[in-house]
Amino acid sequence: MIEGLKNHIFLIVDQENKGLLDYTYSASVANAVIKGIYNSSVMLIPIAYFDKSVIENYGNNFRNNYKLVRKDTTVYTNSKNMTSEGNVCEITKDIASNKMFDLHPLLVSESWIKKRKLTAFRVSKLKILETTCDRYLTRFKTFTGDSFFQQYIGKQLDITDVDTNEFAPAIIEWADINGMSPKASYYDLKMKYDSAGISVVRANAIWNKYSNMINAVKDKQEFEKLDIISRVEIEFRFGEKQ
Amino acid sequence: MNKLTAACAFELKDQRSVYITNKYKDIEIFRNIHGAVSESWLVDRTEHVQLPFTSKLLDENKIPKIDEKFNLDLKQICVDRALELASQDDHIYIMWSGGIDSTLIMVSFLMAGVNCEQIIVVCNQESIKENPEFYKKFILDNFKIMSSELLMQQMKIGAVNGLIISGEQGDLIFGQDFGSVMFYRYGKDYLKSPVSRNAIVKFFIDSDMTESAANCWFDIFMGSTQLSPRPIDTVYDFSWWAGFNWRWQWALEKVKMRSIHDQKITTFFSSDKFQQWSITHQQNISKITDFKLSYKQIICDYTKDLEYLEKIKIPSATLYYGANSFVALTDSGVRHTAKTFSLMDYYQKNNFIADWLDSQ
Repeated sequence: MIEGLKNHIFLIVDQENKGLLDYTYSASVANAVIKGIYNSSVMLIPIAYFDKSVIENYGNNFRNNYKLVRKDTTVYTNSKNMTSEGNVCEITKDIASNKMFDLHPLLVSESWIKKRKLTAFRVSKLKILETTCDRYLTRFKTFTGDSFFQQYIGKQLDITDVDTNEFAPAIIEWADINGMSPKASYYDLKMKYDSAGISVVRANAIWNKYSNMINAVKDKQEFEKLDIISRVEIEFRFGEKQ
Repeated sequence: MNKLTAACAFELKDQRSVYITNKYKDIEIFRNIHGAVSESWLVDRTEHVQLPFTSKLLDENKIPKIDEKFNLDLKQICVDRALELASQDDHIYIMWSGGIDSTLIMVSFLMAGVNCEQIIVVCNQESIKENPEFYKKFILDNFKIMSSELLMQQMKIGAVNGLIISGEQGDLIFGQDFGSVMFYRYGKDYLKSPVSRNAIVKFFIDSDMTESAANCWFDIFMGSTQLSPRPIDTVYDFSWWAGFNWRWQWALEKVKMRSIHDQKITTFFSSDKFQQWSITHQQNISKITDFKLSYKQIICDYTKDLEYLEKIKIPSATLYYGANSFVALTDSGVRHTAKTFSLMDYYQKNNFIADWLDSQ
């Protein structure tokens, strides 16, 4: 509930040279793409650390390349060079005093540019896939406190026995405020709860299936041949039992 | 060999279509109709025209013989149908999308005074959005309610105990499918104009069909009109025939495709009486809200909500189908998944389109 906006960006970073392969504002897109790019990790960074002009169009501009650097903050330990998930960057003292992270120019090979292009291509397609999922899920967002509401009301529905007229307090509360009987309240809430739950599971399964498919695609031609975006729409609208 | 009662032509919509249509020119023309009729599996209820894939018209979908003495009004037909269906099972699942057709079903059951305990209204948030007042005044506090996604899930595993009633075919009673697109595109005078090759070919070409396919499909649709129980004189009659004759079977079969085995599923509008009414009542469409006006009048008489007469029809039922489905059904009851189905297994080289190409 009221999760608040944080201005974060998710960087796809190469574990080998700490090079920035691409970026996205979606954690799920970032986590999906690293499953298909060898030796890559997601780094969550506050957007304020970067000059926007450096980041913008990075996915289309392959002339400039950067590595992610982090300020050396160690005082007593000697663990500053340890790279692990959530900490994939080069440690340096050469960084502005008001920043924890920054991007520094990186010299790269042609093969690395190829890796960058593949990452950017897949990120662009995963964004389309995620937007499609969002579009079908938007109809279930009806209240600012949905995330707490859904889990709580699920338990209240479970402890209600409509056949014996034993209603959980939240079911009665909903009925009182909305001017309906507890029985109507139960059916109203149960219908909405099931509808949202089943649809979210379904959308997640579709996301899982097609993000894996995108991660196996090497280029635009292959992507178009597989007609992935049309298939996603068909799957959402009509389904296709495999 | 098995024949298809319904199928999704996915092979003709993805990369496989390139190879298929290069080799089979009749299939290239066949697939063109998807510009005008996106998903439907077309079956000729007159059994006059043979398309490139073997299809079987189910007996229940044959066009009823005209009853010369037929004079029932629509309201009576609705009530009779509700009573007939209520007598068939103790548990009735009504798929209420919130649209005009399914709201008429609900009103019919209410008018008939059927025991509300017997009925489970199947809907979701989209249904409420479509008709919030009806939900509040007539569904809540009267009926058990179930989410449409849950029904689809239970159908998929064959766990529904009762009769499922869909509002499909409601459109076809009115000739709405092509009709409303034509109205938006060309206006009321076009619908009232005499049916002609020029008029229909223009509609098909504007629906992204090739000129050759547009001409062929005009001949396909017109080929069976000689067996139509009502004269096909105007463009709107043509629209009615395209739905009533060609899309009728698909309307129910596409619901059955959601189910792992045969379950009790029917459409409210499939009774002989509804079909007789459709055959004997031509609509006068002057504005977009005239579509389904007769349905809306019955609903308004019951709800006293006169604004409803101005409701326009949008496809509200589509979200019902957001559940994985089999992709083909055969006359022997076999259900095919995407992996086990090949449409080309059902190809027949002797068909209307192949003959049509030979004659050009």
